[in-house]
Amino acid sequence: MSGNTLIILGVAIAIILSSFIIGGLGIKKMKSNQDYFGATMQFGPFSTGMSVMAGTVSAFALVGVNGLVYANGTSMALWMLTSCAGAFAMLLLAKKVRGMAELGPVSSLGDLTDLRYNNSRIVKGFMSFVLMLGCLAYLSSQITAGAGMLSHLMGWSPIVSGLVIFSVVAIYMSFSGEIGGMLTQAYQGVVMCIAVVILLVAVFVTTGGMGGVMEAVSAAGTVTSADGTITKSFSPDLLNAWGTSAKAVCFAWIFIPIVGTIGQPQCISRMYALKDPKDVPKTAIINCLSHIIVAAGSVFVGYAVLYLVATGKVQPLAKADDAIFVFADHCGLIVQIAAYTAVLAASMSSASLYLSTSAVCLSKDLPAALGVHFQPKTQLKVSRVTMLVMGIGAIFYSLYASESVAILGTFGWGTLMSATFPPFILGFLWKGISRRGVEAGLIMAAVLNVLSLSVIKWPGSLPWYINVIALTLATTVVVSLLVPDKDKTSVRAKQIDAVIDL
Amino acid sequence: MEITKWKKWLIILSTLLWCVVTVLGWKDENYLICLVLSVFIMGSYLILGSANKGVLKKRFFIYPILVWAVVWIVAFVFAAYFSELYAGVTPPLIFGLHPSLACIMGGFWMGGLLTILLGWRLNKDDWMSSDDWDEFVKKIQDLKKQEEKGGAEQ
Repeated sequence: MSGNTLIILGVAIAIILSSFIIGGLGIKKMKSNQDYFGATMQFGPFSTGMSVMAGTVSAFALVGVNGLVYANGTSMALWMLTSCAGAFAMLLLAKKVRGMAELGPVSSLGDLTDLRYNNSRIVKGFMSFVLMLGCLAYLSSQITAGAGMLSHLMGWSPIVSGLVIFSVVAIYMSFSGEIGGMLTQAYQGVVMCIAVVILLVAVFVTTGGMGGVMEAVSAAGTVTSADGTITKSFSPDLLNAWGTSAKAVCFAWIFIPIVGTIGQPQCISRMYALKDPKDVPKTAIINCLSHIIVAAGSVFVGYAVLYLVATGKVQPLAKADDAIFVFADHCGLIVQIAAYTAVLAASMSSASLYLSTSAVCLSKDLPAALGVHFQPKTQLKVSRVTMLVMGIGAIFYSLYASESVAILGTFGWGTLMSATFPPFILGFLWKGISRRGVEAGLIMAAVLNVLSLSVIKWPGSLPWYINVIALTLATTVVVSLLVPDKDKTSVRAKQIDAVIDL
Repeated sequence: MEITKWKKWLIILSTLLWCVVTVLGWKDENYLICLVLSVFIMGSYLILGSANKGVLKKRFFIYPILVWAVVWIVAFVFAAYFSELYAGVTPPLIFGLHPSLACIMGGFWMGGLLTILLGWRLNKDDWMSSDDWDEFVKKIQDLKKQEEKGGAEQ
C-alpha cells in the first residue's frame, strides 16, 4: 500500500469515526420518541439547510453526474444546476408543513398524512409502501457507490468496504435516529462543501477555465487509447446547453429535480425539524448556497475530464463513472483526498437519510396503517432494531443481490415524487384535495410504479416515471373534484384550513 | 390579490399542463415548448405556496415570481436558439462558455436562484411575517380549546 493511499484511508476513517461521534452526540439531545423519529422542532437554519443539501446530493451527484458529463456533455449537468430547488420547496411548503406540527405530534410523513387526511390508513399505507421502495433503492445505490469507491482505493472486497462504512452509519442511526441523522448530515454537508471547493480550484488550475476546455474539445476530433480499445469522439456540441442526449431528456433533467425536490422525504421531513418557522428563508439561503458549491464541483469536474482526454493528458475512460477519480489521480494527493472525502460524505449522508426514512416507514407507519400500534417504549425498541437490521441487511443485499438491486434501482427519485406529490404538494396547497382523491392517486401511483417495471412500456425518451406522476396527479385531482371531503365545519377541518391558508 | 377562488383553477391548470408536457415530451422536438410550459406549472405552485391567508401580494407576484418566470423563459429560448445556431461548430464564447450554456448558467442556474432568494428575502413578510405566525399559533390554540371544551361537554 503506497503512502498516498494510507493518507487517503486515514482521512476516510477520520470522516467515518467523526460521523460516528457526532451521531452519538445526538443521543444526548434526544428526549422523546418524536425527537428520534423526526427531530421535530429541534434544529436551526444552518443544520436544517445543510442537512437538506447533504440528503439531496447523493453519491450519484458526485460520481455519476460528472461521468455522464464526460460521456454526453452538458445534458446531465442540468440536473445539478437546479440549485434553486430547495428554495422552491421551502417557499411552497415549509410554513404549511411546520404549521401542521402545531396541530399534533408529527415525527414522520405518515403523521402528517394522519393529520391532513383524518387518519386515512389507505393514504398512510400506500404512501409508506411506495416511499419504502424508493428509499431502499436509493440506500442500495449509496452502499454500492461508497463500497465501490473504497474497494477501488484499497483493493478490498466490496463487502468489507461496505461494512467498514455503512455498518457505522447503521449503528449511529439506530441509536440516535433522526437527531443524530441531521447532525451528521449537516457535518457531512460542510465536509462536502470544503472538499468540493478544493476540486473546483483544481479544475481551474488544470484547465485554465472553460475557454480552454472549449478550445481543446473543438480541436480534439476523435481520441483513441494507447492500446486502441477505447475511443472517445469530441464535438463542440458536448459543451452547448443540452449536450448530446435527447432533448426531451434535457427537459426532464430540468423539470424533475425542481418539482421533485419539493416531494423528497429529506426535504419535507426537515421542514418540521426546524425550530423557528420564521427561519425558513435563512434555511433556504444556506441550502441553496451550499448546493451551488457542490453542483459546480460535480459539473466542472466532468468538463475538466473532457479537457484532459481531449488534450491527451489522460487516456479515454473505460468507465465514465471513474471520471472524478481519474481527475483526482491526475491532480495529486490533495485533490485525491478531496474527491474521496466528498464522495464518502455524500454517500454516508444520503444513506443515513434513506435508511431512517425506510426504517420508520417499515417499523412505524406501515404497521400503524395496518392497525398495529405499539406503546412508545416498544415502538422505539422496534424501530431501533429495524434500523440496525435494515442497515446491515442492505449492505449484504446491495453487494450480493446485484440483479434485484438493478431492478430496485429503477425506483428512486420519480417513485418518491409519485408517493409524496398527491398528499403533500397538492393536498397542502389546496384544501379541495380530498381524502378520497389522495387515496385514489396513491393507489394509482403504487400500481403504475410496479407495472412500469415490466408490463408497461411508456413511449418516447422521457424517464418513465414522468408518465406515472402525470397520471397520479390527474387521478388525485379528478377524484377530489368528484368526491370532495364532507367534513367542512368541524374543529379539525378548521385547523386544516388554517394551515393551508398560512 | 385575493386568490382563494383561483386555487382550484391553478391546481387544475397545473395538472393539465403536467399531462400536456408529458405527452408533448414523447417527441424530442417539443422540448422547448415543454420547458416553457413547465415554468407555468412551477409558477402555479409558487403562487399557491406564496399566498398568505389567501392573498398574494402584488409586489411578491411581480418580484420574485414574475421576474423569475421571465428570466427562465428567456434563458430557455435563447439557449435553444444558440444551440441550433452553432450546432456542430465552434461558437464565439461568452465568459469562456458556449453561448447556449451561458444562457443556462447565467439565466437558469444563477439568475433564477438569485431572483427567488433575493425577492423572497426582500418581501419575506408578504410570504409570512412574525405576526402572521403568532396569529396562526393563537388560532390553533383557540381551536384546540374549543375542541377540548366540546369533548368535555359531550
